[in-house]
Amino acid sequence: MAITPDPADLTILDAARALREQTLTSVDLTEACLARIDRDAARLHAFITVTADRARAQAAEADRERRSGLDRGPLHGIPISLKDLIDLAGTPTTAASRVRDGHVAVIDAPIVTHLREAGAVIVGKTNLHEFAMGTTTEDTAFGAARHPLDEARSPGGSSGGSAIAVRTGMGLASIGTDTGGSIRIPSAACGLVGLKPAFGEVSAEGVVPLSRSLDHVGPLARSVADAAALFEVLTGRDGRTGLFAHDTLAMNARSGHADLTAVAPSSYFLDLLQTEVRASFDAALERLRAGGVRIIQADLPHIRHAPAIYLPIVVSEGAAWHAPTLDTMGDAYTPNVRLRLEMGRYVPATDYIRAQRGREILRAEVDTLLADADMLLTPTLPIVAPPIGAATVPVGPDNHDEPVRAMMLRLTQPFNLTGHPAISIPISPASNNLPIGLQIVGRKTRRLLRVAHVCEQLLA
Amino acid sequence: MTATRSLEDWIAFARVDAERRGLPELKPLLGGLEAALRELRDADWNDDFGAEAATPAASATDDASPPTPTPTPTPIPPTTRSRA
Repeated sequence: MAITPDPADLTILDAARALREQTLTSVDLTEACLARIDRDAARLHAFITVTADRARAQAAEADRERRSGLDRGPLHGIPISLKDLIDLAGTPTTAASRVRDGHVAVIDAPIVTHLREAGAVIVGKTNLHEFAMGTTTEDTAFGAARHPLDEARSPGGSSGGSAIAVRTGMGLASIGTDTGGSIRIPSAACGLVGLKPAFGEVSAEGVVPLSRSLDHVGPLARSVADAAALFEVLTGRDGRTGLFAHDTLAMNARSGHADLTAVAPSSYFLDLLQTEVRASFDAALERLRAGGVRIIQADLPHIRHAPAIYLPIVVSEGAAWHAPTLDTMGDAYTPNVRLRLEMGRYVPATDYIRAQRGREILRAEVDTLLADADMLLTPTLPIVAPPIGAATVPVGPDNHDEPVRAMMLRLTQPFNLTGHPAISIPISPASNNLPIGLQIVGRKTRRLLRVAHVCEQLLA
Repeated sequence: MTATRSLEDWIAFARVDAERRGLPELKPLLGGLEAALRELRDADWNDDFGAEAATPAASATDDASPPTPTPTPTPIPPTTRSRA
């Protein structure tokens, strides 16, 4: 006898099909997700605000609309969450900080308007590393977030609450932000798909900024197809046009002849990996190769400078936005986040310009690498989800210690600097069953999604 | 204090300023910032940084002058340590 899955565990597209076929209602689907929130959210510190009553009303409205013949597309009646940096009218946008006490958003961020128009049901606002200034979701006014598969570990960050929510069925997807990897990092750590679109493609208006020239908005989801459906809506397109309908790339992959070329850089991206990440990444490349993907090696000559380019940009742009509150209510920040923002006040303007020039060099080098290839492949994270409270982690063939923050940002931050679209998809864990992610970087987001969809099928 | 002073002077000033502002915990982080800024200042793409300022004023404002050529970056061997 087939076991009917809990609807909270469905992908968006499977749930949308069931809703369309009227074998499932949005009210039942939303109740299933709210039950998961009741069961797990407080323990894992996943949510800051739960909008249960509003979600129930939106779900009932979605069901009424469907019964009347209105179909708003794949998100119609689908429960999702928002990282609590994103304005949802009538609710606080805390940014996981006491600095924001008393704040209530007056209007929706434009991306929320798009989601509402597509019929999405918003179940709440998720926990994050305070002001998105961190990679572990430990420094937050609402309790350190806990990994859903091992509560002694971090789920990654800064969109850590979003990743927990999607992984555990507290909504079928979540919208996060990514300044140095904050969508891809927790997605990789929790076994999800996380998309950072190309810079500027999804509006960041109505989203508390960290670094305006590095901030990106995008989805955390359970499949590439779900991420694509969300991406279409977030950019204001009609989500009813399936990105993968009649996709020749996907059809070729199904027949075992993916006609794709991938670049797998060796230096920098493979220098400092934990053993299990390296094994899992190598195995993924082999499976892609077996599926017909040509994999070539090439390097980015200046990539080793990415952390030195990233640091002065992110801290100085962050300090500029936070200057008034650092002056008047510095004690309201968590100590680590306050100090990192304060560091930004000591970046000379000339060095900021030097960093921006380095950024142009990196962008040109990635463009060159992708001129003759469909994608660039790297691990998303050099490490598996780290223990909560760990300052360093062992990496590399000699297992020497490196700072957790630097390691978590290492492989994702280059593409915030260059603005290229990048997605993390889960690959098979090698040994301890903690999730591991494959990062795929492309030239254009929609093309990247199609390529990632093929890779997902080949790696399934 | 201006950025034309040495990086060491600048970071020393920052450490004193952090202490004066009641943020002594910031001082270790400034070491990481110093390392990043040092790396930027030493990077090959910044070899000509500020060179425009040394160009004679007449040619700098002469529309007929050819543009300053963009430097071609030269490859640098990778390191094995993150400095962020």
